[in-house]
Amino acid sequence: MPIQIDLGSSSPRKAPEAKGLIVGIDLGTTNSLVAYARDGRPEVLKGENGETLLPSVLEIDASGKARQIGQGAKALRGSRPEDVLFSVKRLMGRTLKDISEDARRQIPYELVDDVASHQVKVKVGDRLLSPIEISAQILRALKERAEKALGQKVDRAVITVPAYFDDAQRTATKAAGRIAGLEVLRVFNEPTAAALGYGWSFEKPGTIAVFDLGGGTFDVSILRLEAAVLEVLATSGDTQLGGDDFDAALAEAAWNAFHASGLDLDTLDAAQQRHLRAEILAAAEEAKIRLGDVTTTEIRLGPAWFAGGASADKASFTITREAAEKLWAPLVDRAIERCRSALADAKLAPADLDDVVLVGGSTRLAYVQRRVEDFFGRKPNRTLHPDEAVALGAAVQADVLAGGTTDVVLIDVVPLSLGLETMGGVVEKLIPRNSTIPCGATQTFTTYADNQTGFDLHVLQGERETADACRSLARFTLRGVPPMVAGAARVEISFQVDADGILHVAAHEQMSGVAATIQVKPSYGLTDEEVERMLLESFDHAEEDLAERNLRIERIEADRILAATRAAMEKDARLLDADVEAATRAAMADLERLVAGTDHVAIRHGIEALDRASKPFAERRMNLAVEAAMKGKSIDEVERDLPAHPEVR
Amino acid sequence: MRPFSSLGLKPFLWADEAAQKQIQARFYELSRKLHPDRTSHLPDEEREASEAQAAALNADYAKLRDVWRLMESVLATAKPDAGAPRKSGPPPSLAMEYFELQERLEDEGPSDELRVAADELRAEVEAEVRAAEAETLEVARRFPFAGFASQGADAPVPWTSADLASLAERLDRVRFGRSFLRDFDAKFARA
Repeated sequence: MPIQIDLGSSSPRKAPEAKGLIVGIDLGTTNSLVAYARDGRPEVLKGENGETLLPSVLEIDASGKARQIGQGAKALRGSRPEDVLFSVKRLMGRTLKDISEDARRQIPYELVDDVASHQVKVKVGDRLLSPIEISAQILRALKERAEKALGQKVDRAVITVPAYFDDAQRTATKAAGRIAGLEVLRVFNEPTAAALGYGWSFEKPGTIAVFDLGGGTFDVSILRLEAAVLEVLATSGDTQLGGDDFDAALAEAAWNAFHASGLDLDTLDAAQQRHLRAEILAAAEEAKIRLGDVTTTEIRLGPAWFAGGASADKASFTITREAAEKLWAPLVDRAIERCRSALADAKLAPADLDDVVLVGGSTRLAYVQRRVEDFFGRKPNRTLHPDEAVALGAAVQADVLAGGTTDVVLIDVVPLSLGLETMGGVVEKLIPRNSTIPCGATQTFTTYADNQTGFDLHVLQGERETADACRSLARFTLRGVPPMVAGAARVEISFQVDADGILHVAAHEQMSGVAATIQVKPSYGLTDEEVERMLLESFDHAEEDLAERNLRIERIEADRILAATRAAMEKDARLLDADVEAATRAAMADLERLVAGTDHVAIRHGIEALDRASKPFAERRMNLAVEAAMKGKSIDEVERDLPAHPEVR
Repeated sequence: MRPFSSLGLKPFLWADEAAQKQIQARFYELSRKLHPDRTSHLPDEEREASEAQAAALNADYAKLRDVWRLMESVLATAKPDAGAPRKSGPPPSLAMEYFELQERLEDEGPSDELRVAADELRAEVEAEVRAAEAETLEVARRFPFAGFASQGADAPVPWTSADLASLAERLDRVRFGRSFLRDFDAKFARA
């Protein structure tokens, strides 16, 4: 029985008893949509005013909840930089250092690195919000929209992600779905979803490229279409490249021009600068759209920004379409480079393709269309709805998973190589990029020193050769390997990538029946406990105040720990020193008294005090379990015997 | 024998375009049965078993559609120690020239003259690699795609151990040459 180290979502894969409808969701950087397939025919579900797009923008109140989501919040973007959040998808599964300096400068709300969960968080007032919980609020709004439109309960979904999303970003998306009260049946690649709308029921087989440039991310996928089969041959992309960057390029130029024409930035404090940036950025997005129709446009500022007022020419920045395209060229260069790489991986030349399909709002830019045409040597196909194609494809996939009428199988790939760090910080790739999923690989490791009893393993994703240049997915320690001469132990590590593109790792020692214990510290994102906590926090407690919610959570936690400690003391009384026992019992009595009260902070302190008091006892139990393991008990037994408190992660 | 058995194929080393089409059709047919999208309604155990089968199918298909990976895989199955590539170095006939060039690069630093000499040497090695590749593919072509195996039976291999030895020797020269070219390019990138 191998030890399972689950790096993926912990949500059970089996459908729950409750059977609501399954919808397809496109959780976009700038806009989100929800769609549903009736009798195999997908349609986008509309909001109260008949609108299909839900802008992925939230106005956040002091308790961290959205006051409004969508168009109303978007209208506030330019004027309320601190508490109007947008483009949060770009933060999913990321830390601050993953986000480029340029991108960060254009985000007017405050970002903070959360060391404990290894992810960036958004600071609104004195609340820290993870991108996962913010995205969950958007998902919940879509869920409500769908329930209203369909008149039935919706509890499961297929959620699309950029094909180039890595493991951390996929896992984060799945967690967001779960927090929103949706069972995520599949995390589905956006260009593959779009291709599904393009027409999988091909009479004549063909090979196409899907060029998907959205608000914040870029993907290119090369696909083969046949009757009832859609196979992805290769995919590439950039999860930090999209329409936002086109806006940012214009905004940066405008900022510099205003600066040069006499807007004294030094007189503005940090908050004012944030306001100014937010205002320019919102104006830049509008200017970008106008440049589709006119060859010259301007970005205008209120005269209040200029000390002593300003003449009209100072408060306005004029830009021609040609100049804008110069600013955008490096961005499109990056996308074209990715197309080249995907074609090379598919072992194809542009001329081998039967069609090039555009999706994503940013492919509306004539400049992008021109560059795509230049590269592929053919006019791109613009028949798919740039905003809706992905959601419609997700709805079709939802229908497939629901056992509906659609008969198509999607054969997709893993976008980035997966590997392990070996001696000297070099990455050994176990699963190369563009491997068809599901897929697996195993690697056997041996000890390099006599009597070595543990291995440190480091799981990585990326194309670079060195560990520090790849994304760290998890570090864990494999312990309890029996002392042997160097090279005698055989530990097999196996990687499995599921149909969501999410990695699961298992390990076991082969040479002896001796079990190994394991410690997993996910390098990123949320632990299961954090997801559970958010789930509790978010569910239907909207009217309760924050303290009440926290109190419930801490009480549940305290009860759990009290029960676990009590059980452990009964079971392993012989491991308990008199003074440790006295201290533990005192801490337990304190905590019981606090649980009866209403102060959640005090309960948290009580839990921590119990943790400290019982620590020597917990450690002894842990050692005992490891000893037992080394005497040859099965891993199953050891896992059962491991102390419930503190938990082994 | 993997990678043939999971797709029910008789062992082969060479598949032309028509054969590739047939293999792909079989792969699609099996994927339609085994893909996780199609098995989500099954009980856990069956679902997991078919996911494992799907993973094996995907791994095998990746080998079957690339002749080099297929040859590597067949050799690794038949003779587990034959798979390890030799340490990289220049082909013996060109070794002297290579070492001279390397010495000059270290002593004199990069120069136009040196670059021309390096390019010439590289072209010669590349020609050797191409020749070795052609010879290797010649062996592969002797074992063309032979269609589907009858149900349940493990089809016999069409090659002898002498065939495999000759394949291993040639493939070794290819690997050796390719890895030399990689090292060479890294070293002389500055020249």
